[in-house]
Amino acid sequence: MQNNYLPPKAAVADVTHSSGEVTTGIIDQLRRTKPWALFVAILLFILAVLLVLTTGMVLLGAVAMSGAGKSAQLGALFLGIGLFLGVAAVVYFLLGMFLTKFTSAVDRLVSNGAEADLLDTLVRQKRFWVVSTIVMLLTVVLTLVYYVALLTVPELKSMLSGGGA
Amino acid sequence: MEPLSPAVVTVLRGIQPWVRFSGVLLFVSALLSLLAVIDALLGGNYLNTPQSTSEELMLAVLLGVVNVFFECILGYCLVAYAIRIGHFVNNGVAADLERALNMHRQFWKSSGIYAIVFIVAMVIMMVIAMMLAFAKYSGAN
Repeated sequence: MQNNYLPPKAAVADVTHSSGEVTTGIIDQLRRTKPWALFVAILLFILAVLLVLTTGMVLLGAVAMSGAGKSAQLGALFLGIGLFLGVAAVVYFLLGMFLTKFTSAVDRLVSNGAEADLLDTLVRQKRFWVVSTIVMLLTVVLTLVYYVALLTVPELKSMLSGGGA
Repeated sequence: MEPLSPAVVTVLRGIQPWVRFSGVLLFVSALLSLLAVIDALLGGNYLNTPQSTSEELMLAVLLGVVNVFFECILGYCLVAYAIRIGHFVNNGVAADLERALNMHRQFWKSSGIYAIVFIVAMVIMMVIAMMLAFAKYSGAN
């Protein structure tokens, strides 16, 4: 006997597709992650552009100071700083790119709900974590070396303070 | 419902050590930031923290404390994500992966909020520094 009080069923596919293996919960978590990850990716790109501009200015300063005597030493220091900033700009750009590709993979997963898309999302996520962990490790090690040098080499502190005391 | 394929488990098993190490590094970074804040409060004698006026010092210490707070939260999110990946890798239950991805989402949400707070704090500090400089210039004239 037909139940006339049942709600009608829409003849369209469900908005959030999911296969038997990939649950809607998994897709939902990644869908809600995407805007924040994309926001951080955009900030990383902006930071990379700012670092490129700063690198350009520092390298111009290095060129302007190239010459004999103290100017040459300052010029070499500026060159070193410029190269470091240039490398940092490339690294931030790479991180932004990895995050953007991760968010694109999340879009495909939300559209298709296939396990292959989930795998692609996780692979792109892994690439980001490998590079960011190495960068974080280098930053922490350099900071530790800097702190230890300040505590053990008194001349360094007076040099950084402008030759005072 | 069929379980997720071994390929998914393999990739997550590859992600886990990197995420866990990142989390630990964030805690170490928070500790280093805390040492810099303490050095600033002690007059900058040990770590060559720049000397500045009391207002600038207060703002710098506040920013440092906020930095430490957020780094601890981000570190916790990553370590918890790594632990929950471990649960999924051991059990293969989709609900464990959902919980792991929830912590992954919390990390990115916290990162986004931290970035917004940091940018707003930088803008406020710049405005205050400009106002202080203008006040000094006006006072000198």
